[in-house]
Amino acid sequence: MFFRTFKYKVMRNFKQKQNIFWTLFFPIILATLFYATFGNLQKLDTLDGVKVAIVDEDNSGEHFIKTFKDVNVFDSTVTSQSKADTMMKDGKVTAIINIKNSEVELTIKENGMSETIVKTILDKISQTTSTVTNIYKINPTGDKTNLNKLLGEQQSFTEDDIGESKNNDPYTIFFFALIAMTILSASMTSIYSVADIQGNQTVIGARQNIAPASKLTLFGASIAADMVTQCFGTTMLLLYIKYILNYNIGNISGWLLLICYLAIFASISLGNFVGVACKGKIMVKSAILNAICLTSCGVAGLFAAQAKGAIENKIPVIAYINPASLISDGLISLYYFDSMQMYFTRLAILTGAGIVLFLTSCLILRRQKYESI
Amino acid sequence: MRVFKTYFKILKNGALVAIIINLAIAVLIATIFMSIPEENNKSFKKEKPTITIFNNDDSEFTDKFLDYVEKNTKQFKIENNTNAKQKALFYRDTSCIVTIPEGFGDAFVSKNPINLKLEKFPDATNGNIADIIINNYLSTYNMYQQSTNLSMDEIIKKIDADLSNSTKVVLENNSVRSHMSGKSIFYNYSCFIIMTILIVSIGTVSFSFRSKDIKRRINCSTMSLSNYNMQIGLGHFVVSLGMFFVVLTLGIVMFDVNIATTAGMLHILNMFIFVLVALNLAYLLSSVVTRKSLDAVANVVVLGSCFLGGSFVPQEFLGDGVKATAVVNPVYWFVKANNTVASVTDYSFSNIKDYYLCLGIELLFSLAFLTITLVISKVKRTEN
Repeated sequence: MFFRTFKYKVMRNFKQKQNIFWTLFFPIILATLFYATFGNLQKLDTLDGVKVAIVDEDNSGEHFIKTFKDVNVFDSTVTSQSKADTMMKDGKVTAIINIKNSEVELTIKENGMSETIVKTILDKISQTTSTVTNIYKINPTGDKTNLNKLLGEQQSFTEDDIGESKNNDPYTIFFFALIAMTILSASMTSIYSVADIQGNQTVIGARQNIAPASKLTLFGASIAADMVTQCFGTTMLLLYIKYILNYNIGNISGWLLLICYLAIFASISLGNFVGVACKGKIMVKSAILNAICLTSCGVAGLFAAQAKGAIENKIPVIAYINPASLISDGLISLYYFDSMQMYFTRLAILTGAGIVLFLTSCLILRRQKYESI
Repeated sequence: MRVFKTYFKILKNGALVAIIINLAIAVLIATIFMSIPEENNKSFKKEKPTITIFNNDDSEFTDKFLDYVEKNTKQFKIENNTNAKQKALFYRDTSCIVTIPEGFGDAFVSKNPINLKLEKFPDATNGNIADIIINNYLSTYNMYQQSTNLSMDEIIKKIDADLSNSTKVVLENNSVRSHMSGKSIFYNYSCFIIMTILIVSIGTVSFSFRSKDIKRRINCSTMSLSNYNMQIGLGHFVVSLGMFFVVLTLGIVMFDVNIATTAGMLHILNMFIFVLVALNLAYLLSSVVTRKSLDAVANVVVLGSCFLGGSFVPQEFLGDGVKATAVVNPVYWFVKANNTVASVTDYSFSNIKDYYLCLGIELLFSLAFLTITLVISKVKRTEN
């Protein structure tokens, strides 16, 4: 009976167009949109993105322009005032450096990090000039070989402790929140599956309640079928992001699939629990679950990546009770952290929650009978 | 006005729950945007990078050095363990973690400097600025130390004077507004709320009225087709207007939107025009798709146009390929109009003519959607 029910439930899941759209195609469409909009952002968080126009109409800034270009950080163009103004209005340059009588002035349109970088570099040049001038005043006849050597080379008293190979793209939070949303959408499907066990919800439920088959067998087969469908959808999404979009979300290893599949089990259990515990029509239960899923994903950074860190800093317990945060933290742990501690903690909470919700659903469904439908 | 009254009965029974859920999600997301401050400065404001300092040294030089660093950066405190450090760096709570080893100050002053350990991502801008600030102080001290015989206190006095030099900054329009503030982000995001709720409401009602039996009964009734269409159209318009006022109220309550200012009025006008676009788009979608696929199509259309139009991510960060889709995306023009108003303080026609151009394009989209819908309705009526 189990395998028969399981087989037909899987066939039904894959034949229902709506089900396939929400499980498989919608997450892929959303991942594509995320890639189209966020895929470029990590590259923009570099100094390469800053363009500057330099205006030196009285030719008094030759030395400054050479020093500025030697810094080799920005994409700078020497041009006339009118062209520079047009370039700033069109957004082609971040700032205009005006040199008049050897005095440097910076023109900007808005406050931001790019403008701050330009100002910082200009300040550094002017401060170094002041230092060298002072050194010459203090020690006009002394040996300047050392000073010239120090000016020529880029002095650095810091050493980088992280290295280049570490995954560090913060916009992966969006993709992990999307994967969490896909996993949580399994709970919406399971509401309809559990309704097929309840005699007062659907016609199939009424038939199954009078059938000689064990309710636990039917329930278990239904959950197993939903697991297969959702695991397929989530795996396709992971493969799509990693290999088709070519976006780095870490390796698709056994650990990653394990947490995803256990999270699907927890999500299905959540849907089952809401389906059996809440009274009322399927639409109402579905709406409640929809609200829970979207709120959970919103807190986990689906709408704004910085929201996740900000909320968890203020209310740390959210990271342990929000389902989407548990899933995305587990994925982030594999992507970025050296230690597996966070991964195993989240895995344990998800598994525990799934088992508790499943057993509670079984207890509520057990021996549920109807006087009249 | 029987059809008009029935319109709202169907809306109440069929779409109210969905509308409430969508509004609740909108309020939740708006709450996140509220934390981003409004900028309307008359002067340049230097962005300070956020860093974390672990100081294991106890020397006068290090104290003076840290005074300078703390004046030019913001501090974020975390626990001194690997997990906390990695978490803070990943979520960009801090851009750079500086560890000052024991004996750093004395070693530096005696011309045998020890390097500071910096944990930051190589390509991250904030971290690089923090690095520049730190190295600026240390390299300046080193230059004085190598080229003169001044004492530590004298060098530090010189450094304080040198590092107070600052380049003059001029603002393009004598003041700065940013289109990245929480209020501006809310205006851009409002199109998502408007489109989602209008498609759900108008779709639900349209499908109810369009079912074959209902249509046949209405056709047999004494009510003229024009009267019937007028009542349906009025219902759509009232729902759209209601939606507009709900979003506006959300803006006034949560973001202090001021309808008495020129900027506020321009934003509100743009939002109203967009409501007309969303209304006609919702009407078009309900004409071409089936009831079962409305949710799916609506989600794809709304999310797709909002993502690609710059509603969720600032338009200047979108790639050129994405911007090319602007031709068929009314959200792009809605966001562009908002950004034009948000980045200026002078609202003369010549300064914001791009804004009026965007409004015109939105109205054209609205007309195009309506025309296509009427053509499709006519073709379907003729076929039947």
